[in-house]
Amino acid sequence: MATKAQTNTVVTPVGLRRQSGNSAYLGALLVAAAGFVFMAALCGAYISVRNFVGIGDGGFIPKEMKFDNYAGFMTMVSGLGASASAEWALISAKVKQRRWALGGYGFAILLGLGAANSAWFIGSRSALVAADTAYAISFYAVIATTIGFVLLGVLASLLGLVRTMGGHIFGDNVLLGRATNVFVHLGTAASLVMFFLLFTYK
Amino acid sequence: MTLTTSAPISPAVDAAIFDGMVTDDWVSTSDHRRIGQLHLGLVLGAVIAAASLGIAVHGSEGGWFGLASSGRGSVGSLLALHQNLWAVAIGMPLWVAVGTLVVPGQIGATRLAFPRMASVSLWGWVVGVATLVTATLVEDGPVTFNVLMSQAPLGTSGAANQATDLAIASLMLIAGATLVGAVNLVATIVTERRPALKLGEVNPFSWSIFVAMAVSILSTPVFIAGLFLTYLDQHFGSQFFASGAGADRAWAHMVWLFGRPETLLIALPAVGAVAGIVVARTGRPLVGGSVGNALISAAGCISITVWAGRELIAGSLIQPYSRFWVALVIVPLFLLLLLILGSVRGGLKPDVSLLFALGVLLSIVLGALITVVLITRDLTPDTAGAAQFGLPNLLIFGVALLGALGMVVETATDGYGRTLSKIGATLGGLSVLGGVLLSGAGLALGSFVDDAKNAHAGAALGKGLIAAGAALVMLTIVGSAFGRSRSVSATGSHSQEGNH
Repeated sequence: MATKAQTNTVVTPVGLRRQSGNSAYLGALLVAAAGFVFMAALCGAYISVRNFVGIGDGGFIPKEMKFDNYAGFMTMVSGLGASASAEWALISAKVKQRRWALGGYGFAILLGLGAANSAWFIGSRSALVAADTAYAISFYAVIATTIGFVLLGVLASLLGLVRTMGGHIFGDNVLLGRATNVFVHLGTAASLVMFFLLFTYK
Repeated sequence: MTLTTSAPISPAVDAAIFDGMVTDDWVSTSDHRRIGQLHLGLVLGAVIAAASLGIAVHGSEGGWFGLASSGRGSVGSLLALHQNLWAVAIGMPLWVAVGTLVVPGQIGATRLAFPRMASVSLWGWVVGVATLVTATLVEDGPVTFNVLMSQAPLGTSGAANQATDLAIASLMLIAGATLVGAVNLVATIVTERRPALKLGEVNPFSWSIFVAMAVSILSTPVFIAGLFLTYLDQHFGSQFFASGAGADRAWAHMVWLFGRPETLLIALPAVGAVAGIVVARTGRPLVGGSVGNALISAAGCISITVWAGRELIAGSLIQPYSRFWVALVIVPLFLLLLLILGSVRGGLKPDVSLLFALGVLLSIVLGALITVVLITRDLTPDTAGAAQFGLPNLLIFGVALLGALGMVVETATDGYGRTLSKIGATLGGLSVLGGVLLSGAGLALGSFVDDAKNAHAGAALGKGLIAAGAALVMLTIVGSAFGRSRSVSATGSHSQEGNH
């Protein structure tokens, strides 16, 4: 049954569109916020299990566990380096130094892959069996999450490289670059969290 | 506050929308209207399926027929699927669908911030729901299927089967799809709105969607992490949710339905929808200017604070409003309802959408009264059983369904290109309202008279009414499209009758 047309609705007239790069940056920030909350939840669970099992001799951390602080530190430093490189790339793109920008994203990719490889090394060298202890599964959960977020950052850096090649991130048009870098920083944050939980807080 | 009025859709745009409805593909579209229409239609299909499962469960409890007590197709497995559908596959996804359909029009945007992301959200939801249903059909059903409703952690039994894996994967997929939709809607409201429209002055409905989705972005990853840890517990015997006070608390805040803030916020956009409907029907903004939007924000902030705080509501008999700090979320919403009622003075232009708005108000008032009365009674776990089912039906899911349908009916001219049939929408609204009252208030009141059997029978009838009402609204929408199709075929051109 057709009805009379409405005279008042809650619909506004269509106006000018805003810059789409804003959307990409905001979207990246929102996804990053979700990622941070995910990591926070994982941290909370790790700490909860640690307190439940107890940290006495042979309690939470098995005796056979050997900590390779060097590898943990390198994971964190590689992540920080990737973040710095990505920011360097963005600043270079702003001042229209295309080659420096490409180099920056290239370094970010290599350092990100280095961080992921280092985290994988920590996991593979631990000689723990995931199903054996609560610590082992917590340990692998943190490692896997770190590798996942770092690889997401590497993927974003790759996208940044391609976008810079295509001239999408250059001069005043750097919002896509900012969005890209948010994911790189998320990976770095994951490596920091991993270092704190597994090597500092234990 | 900026009052917004309708801008007629140009014949070219109108024709493009209509052509898309009948000829173009719906799978790869990036038009927010089409994605929203499809999403809403599928979520309403899930509502009908979930309500039908409710008929089976409550009918069995009410003595209408007998279902097996264990195994595939048992009361427990159907109840779990019914609850999981409502809580995860319908609750927030319903608002993602309505938001995708309605919000861009309300803020003067021509598109979503990430149109393809809306498609990802839609199809991720579809695959997730399909997996959720499949999980009940595999083996003997999932061991940890009813994770959402279990107040205590499931422990580290390590007894997971393939069905459990499917169930956990499906819940993660649906939650992920909802998260993607939430990011899209928040980004759309912030970046795509008409430049002259300030963020604090957007329509109350859009603002309530903004707040609910923002909270969802912060809380859904925790739920996904909880499911991930549950998977690890069940498969590898880790002790994330091993028995103990810390694990109880972690479980209650990460996985359990009533311990998470988005549960409290499923009803928030419904109140925003009522405000939006009143704004449209009075032709004036809400009294108090932007205070309404501030109250909606306050509800969101309080829910996050309650969640992040040490409030432990596990073990409560009346869910979810059983503790002072949780109940505090209601205060700003109650004040918003007063603002809405104050705005009604001066008359309303009658429309079917007001029926849905009235239904939301009635459900909230009844739910609040029942909660207050139940708190004063000495309930035991046995006598509280019906109330535990009834109140969420009334205050969370019933209110959300009524609010969402009301908003769809109100904005049908923008979302579907024409107003809906008043008869169909009225009958659908009355049916849903009756169903919500029967399955919510009726079931909760069963604990007053200790007559659980008849309360369940009434709830089964209520679920039937909800399914019928949702189907009727869907048919009304489809009928409008077909009516339009006939008028086009008859004239050979796109008829403008019944349009703007």
